[in-house]
Amino acid sequence: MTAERKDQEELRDMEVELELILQDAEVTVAKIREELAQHRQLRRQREQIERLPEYLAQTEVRWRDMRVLLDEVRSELSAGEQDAAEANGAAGASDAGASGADGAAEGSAEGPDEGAARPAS
Amino acid sequence: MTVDPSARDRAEDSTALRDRLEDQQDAAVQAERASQLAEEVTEQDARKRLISVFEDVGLRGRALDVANWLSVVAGIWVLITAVSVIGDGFGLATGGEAENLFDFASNPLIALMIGLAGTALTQSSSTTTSITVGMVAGGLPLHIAIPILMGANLGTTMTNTLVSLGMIRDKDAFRRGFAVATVHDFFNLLAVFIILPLELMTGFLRRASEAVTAPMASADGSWLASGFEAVGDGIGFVKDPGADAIVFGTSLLPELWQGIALIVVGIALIMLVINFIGKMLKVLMVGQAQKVLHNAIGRGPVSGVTSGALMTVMVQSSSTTTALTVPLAGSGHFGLKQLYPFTVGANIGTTMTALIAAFAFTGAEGQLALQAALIHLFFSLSALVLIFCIPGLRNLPPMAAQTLADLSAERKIYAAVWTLGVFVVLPLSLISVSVML
Repeated sequence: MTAERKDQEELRDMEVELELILQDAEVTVAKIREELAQHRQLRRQREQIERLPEYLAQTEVRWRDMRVLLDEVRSELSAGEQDAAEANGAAGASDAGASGADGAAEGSAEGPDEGAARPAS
Repeated sequence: MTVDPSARDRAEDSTALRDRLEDQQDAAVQAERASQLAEEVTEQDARKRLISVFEDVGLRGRALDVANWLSVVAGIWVLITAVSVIGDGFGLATGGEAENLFDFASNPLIALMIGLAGTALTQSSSTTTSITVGMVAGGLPLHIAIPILMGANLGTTMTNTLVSLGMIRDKDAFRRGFAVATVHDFFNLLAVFIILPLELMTGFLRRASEAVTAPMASADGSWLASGFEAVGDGIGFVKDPGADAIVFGTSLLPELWQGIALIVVGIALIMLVINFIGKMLKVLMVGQAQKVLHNAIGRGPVSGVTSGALMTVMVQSSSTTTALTVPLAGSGHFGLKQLYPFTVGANIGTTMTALIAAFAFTGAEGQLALQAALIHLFFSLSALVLIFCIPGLRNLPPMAAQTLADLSAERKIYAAVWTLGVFVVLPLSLISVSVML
């Protein structure tokens, strides 16, 4: 009985010890990964610095980029207007549908066609 | 239905082989694509290589180096001569009435906008500061020159903002590039918001520059005054023939028109020569600049500021240094926090040009010119100390820049409003309103 308990305690201690070793290993792996990432980042940065002559040659202002920006803004604005128009159209159609249904529910005094025509006007 | 195990194995082998072949084909396609891209990049590199004008005319090796360096020395000589010519021209054109003539710019906000618009137009703060130094020597009051010099720091931030627009088609690269470009805008705006009112209230920049320059111009025969005089005489001996020739060339004109002609010639020369010196120094100093940057990466912000200042002194252009941060940020390998100190350092490095320009003058004129150049230096140093060393203030420019870049990446109208609003609409409307009133 005592030997069995001792064995169990030893096993538990071993588990705890293994758990601790595992945790240490995980921390070490995380640290190594972090260091590796830093090294890689540093290497990539050094590679970028090697491209300095090319970048220095590119640092001239190109005024046509300003035109590209304005073109982008114009297309964004027109896309926004188009979206708004489509949204209005969809809302109009759904309103028309709802009005048509209302009209039908109200009876024959106001026909569905008249209800559908209302939002469009 | 039973399947023959050997058939299954063969099928598995063939699937694996097919996968491997497909992988190889993919790899081959990828390698081909990478090779094509590399060729394209190489072609682009060849087109965008830094080339000296002397290389174009066939010089190579040591002869090319000597020609490049001699051209830079000649460029500095022309710069000093041109600044001196502006000083002479300004004195003649205003006839000692500079304060009255520049009354419209006595409002510091207008003077600030003149500096901003002038620099945005020439894309060179060195040009604006050199012209201002020349004008101060010719009689422009310091209280008008100080906001102009501050405005030059604001205007120079437009260059990297425009460079970042080159990335507009790539949303993520644009977000990163625009953030690092506008962090310089926000830093310099904050610097002006804090330091201009402080200067107006206390005059600390003017007093500090006066304290430094007074011993140099005193007649007490001190070693500092003698040294300053000797340097001034030496530079005068070199630049006077050129300046005298230009003055002589315009001497047939009436005094007012001669003054105006001298100013125009001086400004044209400064614009040409600063552009030329910048191009030559890019070719000559690229290796040194790489060394500076290699030493700076992985270190703290102090190293970033120092490397930014050194790099700007090397290429004599803060626009070049700050514009360089845009592709670095766009590559995704450099963060905003890493490049921010570098742009702050550029503000300090760019003050060197005005200091060189100040040596175009001697005596009382020389003292005033040096005072103007030192005010530019002290302004940049004060901004560094006040903003960069106070954590609450230090984090404001990157936060604002990141927010603006995030918004601009989603909707380009924010980028357009910022670029055109700050650098074109605001200065022009303020100047127009002031002129009309």
